[in-house]
Amino acid sequence: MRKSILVCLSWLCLNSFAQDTVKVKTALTPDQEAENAYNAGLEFIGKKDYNMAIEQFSKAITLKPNFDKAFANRGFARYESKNYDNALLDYNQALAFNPLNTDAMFGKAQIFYTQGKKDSCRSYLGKVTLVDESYAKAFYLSGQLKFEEQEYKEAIADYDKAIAANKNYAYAYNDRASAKKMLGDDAGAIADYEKAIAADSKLFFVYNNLGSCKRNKGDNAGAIEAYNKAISLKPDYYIALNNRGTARLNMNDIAAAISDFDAALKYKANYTLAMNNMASAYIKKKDYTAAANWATKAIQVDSNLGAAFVNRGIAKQMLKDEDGACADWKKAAELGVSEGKRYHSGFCN
Amino acid sequence: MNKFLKITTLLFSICASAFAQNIEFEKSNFPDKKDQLKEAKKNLEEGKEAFEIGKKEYDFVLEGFVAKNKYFPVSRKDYQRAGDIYFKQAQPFLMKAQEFNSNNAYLNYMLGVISFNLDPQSDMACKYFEKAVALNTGKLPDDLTYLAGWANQFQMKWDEAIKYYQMTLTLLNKEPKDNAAAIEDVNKKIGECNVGKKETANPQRVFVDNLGTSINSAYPDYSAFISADESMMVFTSRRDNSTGGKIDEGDKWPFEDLYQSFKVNGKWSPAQNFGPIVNSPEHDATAGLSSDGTTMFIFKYKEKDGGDIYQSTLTGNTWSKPEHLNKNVNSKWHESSVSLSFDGKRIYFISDRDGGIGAGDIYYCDKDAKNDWGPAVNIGPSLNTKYGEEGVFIHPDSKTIYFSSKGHGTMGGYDIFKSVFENGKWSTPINLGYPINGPDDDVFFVISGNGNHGYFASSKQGGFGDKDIYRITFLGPEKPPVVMNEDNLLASVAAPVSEFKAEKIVSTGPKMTILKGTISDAKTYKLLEALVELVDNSLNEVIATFKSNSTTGKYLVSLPSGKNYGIAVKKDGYLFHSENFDLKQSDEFQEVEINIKLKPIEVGQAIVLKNIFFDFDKATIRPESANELDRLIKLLNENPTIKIELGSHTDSKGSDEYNMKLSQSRSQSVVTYLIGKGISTDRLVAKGYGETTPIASNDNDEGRQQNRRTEFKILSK
Repeated sequence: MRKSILVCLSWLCLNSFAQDTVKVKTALTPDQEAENAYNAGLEFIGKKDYNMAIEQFSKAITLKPNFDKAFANRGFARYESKNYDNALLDYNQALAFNPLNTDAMFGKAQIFYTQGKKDSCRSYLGKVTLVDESYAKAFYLSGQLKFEEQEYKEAIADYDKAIAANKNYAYAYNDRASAKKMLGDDAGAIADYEKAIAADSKLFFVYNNLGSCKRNKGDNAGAIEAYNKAISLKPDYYIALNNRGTARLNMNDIAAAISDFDAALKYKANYTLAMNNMASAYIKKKDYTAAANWATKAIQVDSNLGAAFVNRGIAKQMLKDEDGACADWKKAAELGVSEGKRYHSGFCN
Repeated sequence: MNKFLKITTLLFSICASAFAQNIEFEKSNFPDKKDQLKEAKKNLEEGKEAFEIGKKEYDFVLEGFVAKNKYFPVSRKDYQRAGDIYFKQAQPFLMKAQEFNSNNAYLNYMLGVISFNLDPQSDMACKYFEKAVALNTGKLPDDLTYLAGWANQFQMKWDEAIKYYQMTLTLLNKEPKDNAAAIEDVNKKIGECNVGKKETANPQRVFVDNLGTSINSAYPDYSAFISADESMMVFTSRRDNSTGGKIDEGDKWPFEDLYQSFKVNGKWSPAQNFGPIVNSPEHDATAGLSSDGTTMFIFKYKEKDGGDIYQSTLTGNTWSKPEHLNKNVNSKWHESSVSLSFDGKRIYFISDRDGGIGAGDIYYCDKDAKNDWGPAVNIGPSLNTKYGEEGVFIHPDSKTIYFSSKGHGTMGGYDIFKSVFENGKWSTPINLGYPINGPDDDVFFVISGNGNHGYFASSKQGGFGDKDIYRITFLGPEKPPVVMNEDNLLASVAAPVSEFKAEKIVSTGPKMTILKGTISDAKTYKLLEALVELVDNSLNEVIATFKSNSTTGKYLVSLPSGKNYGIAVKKDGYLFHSENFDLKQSDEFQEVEINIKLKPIEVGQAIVLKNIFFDFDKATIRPESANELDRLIKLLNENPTIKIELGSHTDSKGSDEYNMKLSQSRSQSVVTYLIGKGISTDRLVAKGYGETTPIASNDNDEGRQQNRRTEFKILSK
């Protein structure tokens, strides 16, 4: 599990975050003007125009300096603009005016998560759920943290709570499925991926994950069907193309596999996984020169790609370059690939 | 065979093709070619005369073989090239006659016999025999279909061969009682064809490569043996610069000499003749090599002894004059092909002495109390058959034996088999399969310690002349490629999670360790000849001793998996050096190189005693430490003035205080043991170091194991 956390795929789904709209009366008081500005800010958030949203929330705060919701939402808009320091100041201010503002607490947790301060993140998520036991997003983020720490059972418990709070929480179903997959519960994972699809049928990555789970179970035909769906929703989805190629390779449809790996490389030219899998396909095709060439390409892009060293070693052995094969397997072993170690100790002494 | 030969063939006429017609060399058949016919008949008669002398010789050897062995020849070798000289004379005349008239049944038969004997690798014999069968009017010799079957078997045309053998059986079964031996032979050959069909349909994953001109020549090159680490090869060659320059009148090749080659940077160096100490003007052929490459066995033929085994050993750069092995190994019969066990305490060899199971059996002798070879023991019917065995090789893993046999399930002639000694008996021999084995004789196979390379000789096409030495690379089960995939496992995190996967394969390699390296003086770096003792720690027994080479300092020890081995390297004037290898039964092959630097007996010098063991978390010395402690006592007795410190060290697990206390107790236990064995108290100091002086990292098991140690240091002399 990679530790590095990158940008959220679709924050809109996770953070349909804007708080309740405030009703405005006809005779405008400063508070009412503040509420108008606040509502306008929410609309800009909906349009992902965070600069305008910040402007409107600032106006609301000027008119109503203790407007905790405006602080919290400006914090969110600044967070989305990656202005984390000021976002944090806004969340703090919101909490100063309203210590029970769960959105501000959650906002802080998100910033800490983004900054890799996981302990702080966990601490604020705990505060959120202490105040609001049905704050689904907090349970979800807590589950994600645990998943990343490879605490899959604990992650599943959090996802359960997120789903209890939001029965249509497609992301939570997906992630719970992934946690089950990591625990080797492919059947449970497949059931959850299917629930995620039932909750939101447009999530291309869920189809991909479902396909991979089926592939792991040896259901390559089912996997290809799921990958097809993912690719139809997102034609440039190189991950699914690479995965479909693998399923086809498993079914010994080498030509179709090569075609998929080739398509993946069209969308991501330096996609080392597809290059490595091209090498695998050519090994199966017994075209060892082509296999060695593809593995070399992958290694040229990523000199730490252990699998490509294993594959190039296999190709070199079949090309009677025993020394070259052994050198590659040794390198793969050094990179922690067990096959490299096994082949080197078995054939190179 | 005589009965077989006398059977009248009716079947041939039935099988003769309706479209082919035998054409005799008669005027009526060639009315317009009178002169050519005359010339062709002349050629036919000259060729036929030579052929029939050769065929008589051939049949004579055959009948003699059957009379002696009570079964038919299984291998072409059994015919001893009988008739070949006459066949060579006959061939050009008959070929000319064939150019004139290719539709004469007997002429095709003669050319078939000649081709099969002189050039069995070519498919010409099959073509001639096929035509002879088609043209046959029932007058051809009765062995036609038998030889046609055998020629097709040689070409691995298994179904064709079976067809001809079935035709032969039909004939023989007319008088089954008289033809029992022949029927048995034909049935065996049909069985061989069925094995061949099965094996060639599932070829082994191997590369077979000619070793090239560094090793092979235009002359016969064969009988290669290698050291376990594949760094050295000895083999036999019959080159024109053979020692003494004599030619064997039997086959017109120069006499045999022994040659050697070394692997340098992965390539075999040009072959060198061993020279006159090892090679004589007579036949000198390789018969075996110890796994460390320092003991060589040589086959020398003398009429009176039927061929015996000699031994030569390497000291420095010099091989000793070959010495005749004792009468337990060498009998008045033919002995050949020797293999020494990893510990040098058992010798396996082939002998056709009286009282065996077949013609050429595997025997073994164990070293007796006088360090000489004890009585020969037949290895028994699990491996030996009545048809004969040859080319025995015991792997350095001590339990896998390779040998050639004509009697187990072969594809024809000798095939190479493998058997494993398990649960007190040899397993059913397994055919090594195609293309290692084929329908011709496959003998003298050796395999490297890691099991990846085998060496054998073959006359296959594409070589440099007659027999060449080939290397087999065993690729093992197909290696599945590793595929890489990734998924967006977490919905809100864009970075995918990747994984790589490959199907599992099962290792089938040998289970042993090769320990090798050099031994030198720690101060002067001079390479040393030292004694390497191999100890079975569980029995506290020295199970083998080896010497490092005095010139190169090299040593090599084979350690079959499944034992706790102590290694002690000793030389007068030096502290001994010890190593420990605790190998589980399932431990896979590994090659470990340790260059040992022996330390002179001087004040301040310290060594680690790697074969002193304690009960877990206690100071109780375990019994398997006895050999190491005895070595230490011997050192102290031989150097009565030295005083030593016994230092004990722990890893960093546990508290400092606990470790200090444990190490002090352990060092005291060793001191107490030594005092109990008569060493004066004032010569010994016990010191516990706890975890204070690690020699490796305490962050991993390997490092911690190195840190848990007992050392001794010379305090004064």
